Amino acid sequence: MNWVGLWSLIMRENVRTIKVINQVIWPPIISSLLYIFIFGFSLGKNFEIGDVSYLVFLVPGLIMMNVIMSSFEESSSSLFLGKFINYIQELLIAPMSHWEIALGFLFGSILRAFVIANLIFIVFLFFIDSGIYSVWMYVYFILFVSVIFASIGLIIALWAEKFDHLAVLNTFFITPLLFFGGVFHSIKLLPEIFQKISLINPLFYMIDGFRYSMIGVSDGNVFVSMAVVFVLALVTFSFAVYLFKIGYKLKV
Amino acid sequence: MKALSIKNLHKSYPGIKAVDGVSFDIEEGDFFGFLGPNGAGKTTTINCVIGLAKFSDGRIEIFGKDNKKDFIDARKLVGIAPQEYNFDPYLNIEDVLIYQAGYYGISKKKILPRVKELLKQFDLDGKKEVDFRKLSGGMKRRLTLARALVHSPKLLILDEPTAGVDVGLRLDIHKYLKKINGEGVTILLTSHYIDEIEKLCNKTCIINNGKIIANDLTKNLVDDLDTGHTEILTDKKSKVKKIENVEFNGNKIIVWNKGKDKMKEVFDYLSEQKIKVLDVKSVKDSLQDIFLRLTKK
Repeated sequence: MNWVGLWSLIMRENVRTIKVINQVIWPPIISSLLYIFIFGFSLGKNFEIGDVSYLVFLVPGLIMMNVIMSSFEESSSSLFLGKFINYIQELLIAPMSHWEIALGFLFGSILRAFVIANLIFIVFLFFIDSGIYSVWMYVYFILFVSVIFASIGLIIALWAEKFDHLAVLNTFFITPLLFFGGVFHSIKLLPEIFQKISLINPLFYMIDGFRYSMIGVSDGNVFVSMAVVFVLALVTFSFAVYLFKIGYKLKV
Repeated sequence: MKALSIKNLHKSYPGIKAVDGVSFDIEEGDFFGFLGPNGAGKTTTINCVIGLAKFSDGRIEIFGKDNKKDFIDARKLVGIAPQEYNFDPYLNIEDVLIYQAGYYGISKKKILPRVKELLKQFDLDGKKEVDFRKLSGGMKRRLTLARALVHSPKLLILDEPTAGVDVGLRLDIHKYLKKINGEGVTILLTSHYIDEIEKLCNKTCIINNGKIIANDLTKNLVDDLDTGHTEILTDKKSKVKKIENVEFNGNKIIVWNKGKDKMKEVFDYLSEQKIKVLDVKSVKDSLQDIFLRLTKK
């Protein structure tokens, strides 16, 4: 195991994040604040879901949305840029295994996801009186959801041949699934048929499980959510490592 | 010991056989020139060695380590300076070297003295906190070399290391490469400056259309494939006589080097005709002439 190599790649990812801090750290915090002001303080001011205010209900969804977005963006843009201007070759010729390279990119994304999630949470503490219902579940969901979307980011970056391709998944899949997955609503408010359809949306389990970890309220069974998230993390990460191993669109 | 051993390497792209049964060895300590026209298969061969290209058939060993099965150990021994600049845009020059060493398993603490030494060696120490995009072409070339050397590789692969640099820097690079080769670093050099290969490399291999067409000591290559000749100028036209490797062209007679042993016969023949010799001139082939002749076949 090349621990120094892995550590170097993780640190390199962090250097990148710090160099583009105005692009990757502040925007999710600002946009979450805007959501809170619009949906929490105005439209949802007198609205409750179950026993909790809409504002408290909304916060976990917003955090999870940004965990998903940021982990995907971090790994996909970093790897694709590496391919685009060829500095990925530094890693491909180095004595690092395929999964060490994949892990390096992955940890960079996980770290960014944790930083953003915690910063948003700290900012929200100024507006809501809430803690974390289960710290270990909070960590569990951020960790495994960021693994899923960092892995998907790597897969997309390997497949992509131009920057435009990176937006395809985000625009046509992640964003619609996020909105239908319960960031802003409880699926119990939907007609029965849409409740059932929501259950085939994997992002529902991520958002619902994370909501439980923060406020102790969920639409589904949190252990089912944990299992779904774990299996998806395993599958997506394994597939990303496999693509690195065969050198998919990396080696000619 | 063989620093690099390539056996029966085959690599194809759709519709193109880029490398077709390439085999050659580089002994430890060699300064090995790898020549070929554009598209001959040089870069593909190098990419197969360093792991950037997948090859369908053949075997590559670096200091006895299989570059597929033992790729981790094999890669530790190799440093590569590619022709194209491929630096990480988020790192300054010093960090480029520190992170590169990191990827090779060497910690920042351990590598810092080496980084300082290389920055000084390549006259980059005043620019260590500068972004590589702000460097001149020559500085970028020097940084490429420093990065290839930072983990002290035993085999250094240089793809056009002096492309686009001025004569002074070219000579400095030659001097440095000679020095580290003398210290035991095996070097594989590709260059479009054939005089560079002739000057630096003790062995030269020529590849064309994916096949090795010559591989020998550079000196032997120049001697054996030499189509140099001797020109004899006379005071009047000589009658043509059929002598192997000798051409009679009026008052100029060409004796090809392969027919050197016929020289006495030629002079005797001229003497019989009472023709005076005005001048004798030896014309020697350079590696460049040999390269052009071989690759144009």
